Amino acid sequence: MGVVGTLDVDSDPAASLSGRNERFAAFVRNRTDTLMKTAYLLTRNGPDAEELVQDNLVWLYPRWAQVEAAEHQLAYVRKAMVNRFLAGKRKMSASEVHFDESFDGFAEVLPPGRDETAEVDARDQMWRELGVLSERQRAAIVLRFFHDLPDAEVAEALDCRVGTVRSLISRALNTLRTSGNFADDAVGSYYLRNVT
Amino acid sequence: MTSNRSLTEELQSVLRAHSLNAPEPSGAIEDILARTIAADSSDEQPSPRSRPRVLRLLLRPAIVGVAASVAFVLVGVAVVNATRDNGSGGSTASLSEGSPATVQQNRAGAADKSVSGDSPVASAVAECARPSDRVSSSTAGPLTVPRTGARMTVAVTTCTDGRGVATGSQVDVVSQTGSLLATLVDRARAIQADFVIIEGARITVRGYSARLGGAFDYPFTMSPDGTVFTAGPAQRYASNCVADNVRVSIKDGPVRDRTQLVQVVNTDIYPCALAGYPTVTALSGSTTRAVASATIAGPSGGVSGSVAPVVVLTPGAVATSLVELDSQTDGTGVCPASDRVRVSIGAPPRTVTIPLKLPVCGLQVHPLVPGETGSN
Repeated sequence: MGVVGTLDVDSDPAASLSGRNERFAAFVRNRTDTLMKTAYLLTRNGPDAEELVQDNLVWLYPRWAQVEAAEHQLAYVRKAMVNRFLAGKRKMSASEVHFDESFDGFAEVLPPGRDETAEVDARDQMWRELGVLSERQRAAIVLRFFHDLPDAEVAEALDCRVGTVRSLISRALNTLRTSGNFADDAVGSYYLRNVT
Repeated sequence: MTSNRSLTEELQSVLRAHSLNAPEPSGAIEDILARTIAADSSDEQPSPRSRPRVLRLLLRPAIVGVAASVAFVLVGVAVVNATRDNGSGGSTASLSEGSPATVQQNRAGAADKSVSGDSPVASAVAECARPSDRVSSSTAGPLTVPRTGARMTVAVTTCTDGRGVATGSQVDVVSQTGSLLATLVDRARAIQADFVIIEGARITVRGYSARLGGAFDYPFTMSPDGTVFTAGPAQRYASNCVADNVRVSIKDGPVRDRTQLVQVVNTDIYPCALAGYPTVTALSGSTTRAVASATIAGPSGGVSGSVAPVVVLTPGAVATSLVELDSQTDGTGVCPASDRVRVSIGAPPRTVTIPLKLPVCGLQVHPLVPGETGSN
């Protein structure tokens, strides 16, 4: 008979639940920060990011055994969150800016002699351009360039083919390069060659 | 501008920088665990009461919905210990006829009242998280119990971060003798109560939450015997102001050569809400001459109360923030000049940089207020 699952019949169900809860709690405490960053880059505002992270983890809680069975738990949870975002359950404005009383500006560390104002303005322009991208394009960009995932893993997270990921990224970069003049680089050129 | 960076380097830099604007995880962690593990292990028993005479109404704002409304999760009702004031309680809540009169009072920050032991609401005033937090308190009412005619008051306590930015308001129902009867909004929810509307047995708390994304009406209904307060669904009446529907500019302030005004105009067709301070930086070339310190008020104006107000901008309406230039020099008698001013509002910021020659020894910026003067 093939093994279709594992059931620890010797364990005390209450203890098992307690252990699962402890591991879930540990994951939440340790990983919410990084998930929140990803969610923020996807949703582009704090409240929606919080909601996305919370809803995703609450939804996964009864399915935590599946998460624990995954080879890479964080990737599993992140994939679920990205899919939740793309599924349209989140109807959030990509261009929302939320006033945050604690915001004191970016801590900018720039070499002397550079025009920091111009650079900040250019960054704002690029951030706005990121808001123009489709949700799938933005998700691909965040996974590829924020998490440094290879195309294959981005494809896995987005449930699509590698070629589709490259197409999404190339179109996104084509949009983003209008936000300034940039030096050539191999990575960007690789994707931009594929613009169709 | 031609950057030395490549497109992908710049992209990574932008993503990293903006990821720092993600919300602090602590609140989300608490909520997730409350909705999962704690809910699983709950035996439906109420939690220990911090105030033994009162079953508190725990207001649980549900996660902000996709549209312009928010569902509230009501996890409890407030049962008043009515033995002192209102007779025995415990009836099921229902909307009473109440008084037809409408009372609208208590705009937070407009009528600050010192908190003393002599105050009838002193016993109900919530404590802020840190002693250094400044407190604003005010009351609305009377709130009349339909069945008994007993009078009650709604007390609002707002804690701030010391700069006048509200960290949360507590909204309590108190008896005429000052006894706490119920808590409608808990300070930990980080909702800034703007004002309270009392219509017969209905209480509506208007509040702002940057975290939840705008300004909301939180309705409550009092039972005829005044013993039960039931929360209704919250309604968002203004979303946060967003980058694409506000215009930010700088103009001369009321005191020539000493003040500037940061002006925010709602260019959208819907109202939007904001609260707090813009970030103002004086620059000379690539050098930062001064970053304005956030203060509630200064010699030339600002906010008259102790809390930065909630500003709801109707389409075309203006909010302003007063910037004051300090005259105190560095001892040389000369203030270094700046040639540009950069203003950022929001997170992620809406940033504008404007050529403006200023002698800058120091800068203060006051909170955004409605209107064109920078003061309220």
